[in-house]
Amino acid sequence: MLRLFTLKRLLIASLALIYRGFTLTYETPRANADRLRLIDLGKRRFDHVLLFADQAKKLPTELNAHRLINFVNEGGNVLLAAGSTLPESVRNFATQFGVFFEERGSHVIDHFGFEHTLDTGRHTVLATTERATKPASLAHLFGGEPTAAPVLYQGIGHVSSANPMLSRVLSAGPTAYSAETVDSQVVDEEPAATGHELGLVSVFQARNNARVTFSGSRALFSDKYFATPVKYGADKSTKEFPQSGNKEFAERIAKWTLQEAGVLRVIGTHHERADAATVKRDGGYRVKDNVTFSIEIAEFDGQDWKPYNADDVQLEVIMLDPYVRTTLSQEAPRKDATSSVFSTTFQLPDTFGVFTFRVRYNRPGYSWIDDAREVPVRPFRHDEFPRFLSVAYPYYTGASSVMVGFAVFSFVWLYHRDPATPAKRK
Amino acid sequence: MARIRLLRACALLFALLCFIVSVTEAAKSKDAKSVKKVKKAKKAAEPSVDVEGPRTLKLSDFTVTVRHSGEEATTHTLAYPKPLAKPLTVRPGDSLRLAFQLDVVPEGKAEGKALRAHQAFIVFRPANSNASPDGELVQVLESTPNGKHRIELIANRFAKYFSRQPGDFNVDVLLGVFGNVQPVRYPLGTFHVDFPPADLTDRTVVEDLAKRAKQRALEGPADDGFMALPEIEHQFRPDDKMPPVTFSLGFSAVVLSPWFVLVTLWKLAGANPANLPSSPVALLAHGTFLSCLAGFLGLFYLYWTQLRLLQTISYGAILAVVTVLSGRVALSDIAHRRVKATKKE
Amino acid sequence: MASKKPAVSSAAPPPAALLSQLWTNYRAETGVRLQLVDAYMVFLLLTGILQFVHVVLVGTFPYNAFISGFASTVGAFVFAAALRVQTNPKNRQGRDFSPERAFADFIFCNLVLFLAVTNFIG
Repeated sequence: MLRLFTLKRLLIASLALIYRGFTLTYETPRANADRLRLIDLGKRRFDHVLLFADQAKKLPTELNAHRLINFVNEGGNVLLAAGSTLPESVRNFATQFGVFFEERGSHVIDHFGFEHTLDTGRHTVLATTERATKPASLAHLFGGEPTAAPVLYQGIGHVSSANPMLSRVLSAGPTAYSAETVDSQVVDEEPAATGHELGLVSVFQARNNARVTFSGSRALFSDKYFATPVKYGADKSTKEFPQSGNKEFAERIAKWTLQEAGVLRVIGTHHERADAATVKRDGGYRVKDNVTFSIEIAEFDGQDWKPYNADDVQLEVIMLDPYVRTTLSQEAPRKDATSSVFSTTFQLPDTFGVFTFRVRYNRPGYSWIDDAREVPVRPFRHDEFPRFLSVAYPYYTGASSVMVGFAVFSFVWLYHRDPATPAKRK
Repeated sequence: MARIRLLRACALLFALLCFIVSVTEAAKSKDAKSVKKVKKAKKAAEPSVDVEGPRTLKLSDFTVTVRHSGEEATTHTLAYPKPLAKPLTVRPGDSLRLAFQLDVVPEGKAEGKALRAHQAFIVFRPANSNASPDGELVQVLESTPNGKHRIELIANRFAKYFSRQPGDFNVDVLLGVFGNVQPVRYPLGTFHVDFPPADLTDRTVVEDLAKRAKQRALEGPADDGFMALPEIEHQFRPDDKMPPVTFSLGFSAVVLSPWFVLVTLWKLAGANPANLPSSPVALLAHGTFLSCLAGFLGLFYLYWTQLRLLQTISYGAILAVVTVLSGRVALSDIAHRRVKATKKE
Repeated sequence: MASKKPAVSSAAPPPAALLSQLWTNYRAETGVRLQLVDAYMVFLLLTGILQFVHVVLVGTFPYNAFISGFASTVGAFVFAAALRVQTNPKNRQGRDFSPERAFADFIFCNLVLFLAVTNFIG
């Protein structure tokens, strides 16, 4: 189910297009606490929350930072669209994730990159092309073509902390800054962030793979911005586009937040000795065995599960420290496959103990994968060492020579006959 | 009667209360614009449409002054949009001062009026991208109502932004104003800034360095675990080195050489293993005894190559019984013959 | 008795002469049977020394193999020495039991030693 909370009526038509298959519950802040409650009797009442909160001074208790964080901890996804006048509870909520919104009442201003037709003289409607370019996983999910239309944005900016679970998806242009739009004031303090450091849209994926998107502009998702043509740029280098990139960008954001894009799942792992078919041996692994390891991963594209293509899935063989780290290669997919298999063959170290076969695949934008299996590895048995060592040949010959010498000596000594001699003088 | 009046008064009060509540509710649920209007009373009114025509910014009297401590200041005058003719060097202990006059000129006119820019930034960008991990530096220029903008930078003070690494910086001045005014991005050229080395006797410097190191340590290595890590191949313990097989075989032959000594010494001593028995019974006993000895050696060889200890001991026990029995006969026979020989003498 | 050395001069005779004198006395004094045992003991000694030289050259890698090879020579040497003592008519022990009894002991001890050596040599 999908829960939509807004203070102004918005883009229901576009949302209906995107959220096919979802059950939409629409509430306003004055609704009853019972209807707003996110978690009831320990279970989530909704799967996702779209919180468009930029005008109320205060949100009801059911939607304060604490409740929303509990909701995320229980696995719920949140799409937060704030604005210049965001409530304090929303600011607190965002702070917990490392997203620090600018002061209430400030806008992101770009005198060089504002959109000309929607502008009211304040240069707060930005047309920005600074989408995610690295890492590659994020660019794949949120990036656009280099020649695509810019995204229109009007709202508040934020600074994000260096948390690997938090990723910047839309940044302001190099000449942008954040300030209040008052004629009589000028920016006279060193700004906290300018240019690329000023974030417009950031996404966060929690350890339980719940997703939270932080957007400082509600207008980004509006029908008006979806449909409008774009004209931006400084005097000499104006660019024009028939339609903004907002629709495409908003769809990507929504799909990602609602767990329809970038969702990975481990179907299973399998490991066995490489020569298990030919050499029968009881018991588990032994040092220096060759082991084949394979993991099956599937990706969800909003409709069904399909194979996931990657070339950087790695396996670590760990006992306190990783002993082996290899890259798994993707096997050729079967027809009508719903998942892909990554496998490799490697040799176990010559240390015995309990190892962990761990696949940790953390790419921003995709679900976190952490699969660990414990595997005991035994040392060589006393009869698994080389039988005869060439360096010990002298010792073998020495011992056998002694034994044969003993036999010969006993024969000679037993049957020795003193030759007939004249009597010796005693 | 009084009660009725009281009731009427209460009803009136209640009605009034309801009315107030409904009014406030209505006020709350009014459009956002009205709320905004109430809150932004202290801010200036925002014109929704720029009533003035297109205007441009004009920079005049642009000076860049580098004042070396104790020496004469060198002043460069720039004419927008031309950058500095050659790179400017800022040495440790210098102070760098920029100043200019900003006017806004309507299109078509020659003279304009002084203006304070809303955005007046000076941006230092490292010329080579991998110079500093702290990115670019943005400083804000001070301005006065009659359009004079200036900034004074002391190399010491902002050295910490660039981790005290000297280098070349591309310097731009960004000016932006609300309304239909063309913004200005003025690249000044390259500044070569030599920062003084960190003065570790200065407590503030030490604290700042410590704070930055701590922050970097807290943040950890970039993207640890969130990208493909370098591969690790386990280094196996090398097998024990052994000399070549030929050497071992040769040495085995050497170990067999004492046989020559043995045979020679025996020949010298006059070994004469000829005291063999004659009677068939004795012969049988002797033969069995000797073959049991040889059998033991064979048993030990089998034990070395394939048998287990328990098997060996079992076979050995059987063999031992035979050895003892035949040995008694053989040895007593030898003793008997020895005694006979001694008696003969 | 063999001819005694003529004590002609007070100066010590050279070592080579000493050794050859020792050898002649030995050949003359000791019985043949004992000389057989002595030759066997020399053989064991040399085998042991050669194995030791090998260890010094190559290192102790299969230590158990070296120990067992070396111990086989040492043990057999000890038992051979015991046999010599017990069969030497000049000794008291040589008159206590018969040489055959000594020989039987000798065989038994050696066989037990060789079992241990085979076990340990790997």
